[in-house]
Amino acid sequence: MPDVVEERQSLHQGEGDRGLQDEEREIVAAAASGDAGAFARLYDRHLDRIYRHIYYRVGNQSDAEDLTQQVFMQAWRAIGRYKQTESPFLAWLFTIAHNVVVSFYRRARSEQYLEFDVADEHRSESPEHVAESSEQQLAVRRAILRLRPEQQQVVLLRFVENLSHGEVAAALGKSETAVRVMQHRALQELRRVLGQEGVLWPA
Amino acid sequence: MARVSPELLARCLDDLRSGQTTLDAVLASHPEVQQELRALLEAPLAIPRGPIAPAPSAAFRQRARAELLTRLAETPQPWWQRFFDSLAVPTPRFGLALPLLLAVLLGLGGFGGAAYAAQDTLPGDLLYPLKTGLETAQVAMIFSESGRVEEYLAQAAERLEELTLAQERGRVNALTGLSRAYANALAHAEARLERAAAAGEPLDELLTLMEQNLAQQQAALAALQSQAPPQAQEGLTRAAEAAAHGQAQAAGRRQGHKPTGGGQGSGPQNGSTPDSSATPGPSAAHEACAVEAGSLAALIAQVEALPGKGESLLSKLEAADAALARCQTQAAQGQLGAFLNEMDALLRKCDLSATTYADVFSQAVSVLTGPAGASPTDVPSPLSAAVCETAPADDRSSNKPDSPGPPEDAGSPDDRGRR
Repeated sequence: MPDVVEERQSLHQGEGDRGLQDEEREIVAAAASGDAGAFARLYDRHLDRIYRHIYYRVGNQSDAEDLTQQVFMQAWRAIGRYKQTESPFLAWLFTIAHNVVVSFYRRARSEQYLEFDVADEHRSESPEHVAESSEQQLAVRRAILRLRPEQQQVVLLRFVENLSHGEVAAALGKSETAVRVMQHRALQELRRVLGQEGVLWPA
Repeated sequence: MARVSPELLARCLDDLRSGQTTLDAVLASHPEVQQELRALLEAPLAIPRGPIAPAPSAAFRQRARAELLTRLAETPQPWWQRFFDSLAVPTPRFGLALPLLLAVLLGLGGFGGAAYAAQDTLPGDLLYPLKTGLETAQVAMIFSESGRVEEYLAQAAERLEELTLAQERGRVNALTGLSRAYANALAHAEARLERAAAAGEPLDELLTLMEQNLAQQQAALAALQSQAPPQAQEGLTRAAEAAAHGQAQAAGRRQGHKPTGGGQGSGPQNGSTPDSSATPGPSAAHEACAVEAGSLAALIAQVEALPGKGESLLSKLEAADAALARCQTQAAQGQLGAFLNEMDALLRKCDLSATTYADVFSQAVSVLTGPAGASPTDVPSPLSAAVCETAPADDRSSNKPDSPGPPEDAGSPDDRGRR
């Protein structure tokens, strides 16, 4: 189990990263006061994770690029209202990204629970992409995207983005207890869907 | 039969995540739920390691960064920064009067600092009226309806921040008033949205933003509500309903059809009220009443902030609020009429500044003309500031026609019907 999550970057990795967190707080404060350069630094820092997160949910490069830009523009508009004490900046970006993706699917009038068809025509031969192209990985992604939006968000933030219960709670504006309950239900449902997808034996 | 609780599952996941144990060890330590626990833990185990999706291309990085920087430069600053920026640029509506007045105040010292200091204030704080006054002025300085929608949405977001702050500071008495003010800001936003749509202003981006912001705000309100005391629950519920309604309105418009159902800020309903025979239907009527109550709540919060002369005014507004709670809109209109009469009397006795009068009057009229409200012909118009012969000259001038004042469809002073 640890190997599932340990390789991915956490938002708070311990004392060694305290300096990085402080630095980020300063950059966020500067951006919140209207410093576009500071915001550009935040953009550079978090572009990859936000893009990958969105790509995972929409399944193609073109939409992932558009939605990623939307996330950062919305973050810029709202950064004055971001409270540093409540959630890490990246968690806040994930929240915006979730809302952007939900709106995207609503606009596209897609399936009720954000199912998507894997778009083979958008696939590249990049090494990174090869890593995600196994059948099992696609099946897991399909399964996650068959969950209800809030369950998707919990599963993605906990097990793909490797956020702690507290960080997910902050990002979703819920209590940790509520997040644990959501996680329990989401994993029950994910287990059931993974059985249907043939990734796991039916429970 | 024992079941895996959310707490146990979370603990097991944390233990595995920390690397201090293995799946087999975790299962062995909970034999009574081993089978169910295994099934639940298998799900996250199935999520593959490594990059979850391709990284953005170099071309996208380069193009997107340049585009973002350009757009950042074009995007307005937060409202209070724009407000002070605007001091340097005379606007057609106010000419030089307001910038000069504010510049003089700034020159006298303290105003800029006071305005800044007012940002974190709450109802009941000395500087809070300054904060809301600046918000009102800011709306008046915007000339597009869509811009006003954006500004009212910003006000709603501000009220939400204040709700959070009030909760953090233990100011539970402020929660209900702020919840009402939040709902009211959204009611204004929706009303302006309707005008913007009628004027053919481009709304796509705004509607998307509105929908997303209100979705986020519903989550924030739910979080607040989970920790709020019982006396604040009703107000927060109404605020959440207003957010949900606003989100639905934005989504409906974005998808290309005009929302229906007596929505917030959707304007007068030709005099029909929930207690009249022309009512569109019980649920629509009650929705309209709830929206009206939200608007009225903001007015109450505004009047609560009036120093020394609020009691009698408040009693009328509270009576109107109670009537709306029963969805008796005609009774509510009667109380609002009495409220406006008393406002007139206060202005005549010079017990109220013309600016405050115009501000509160305008708010009261917007309640009267809301979805469950009076027809335009029943709406009173404000008195001229000149009725108070001793009012200070600059105060009277603030009530000139181009200041924040009554709606365009208000009747003449001669045809006031305040009952």
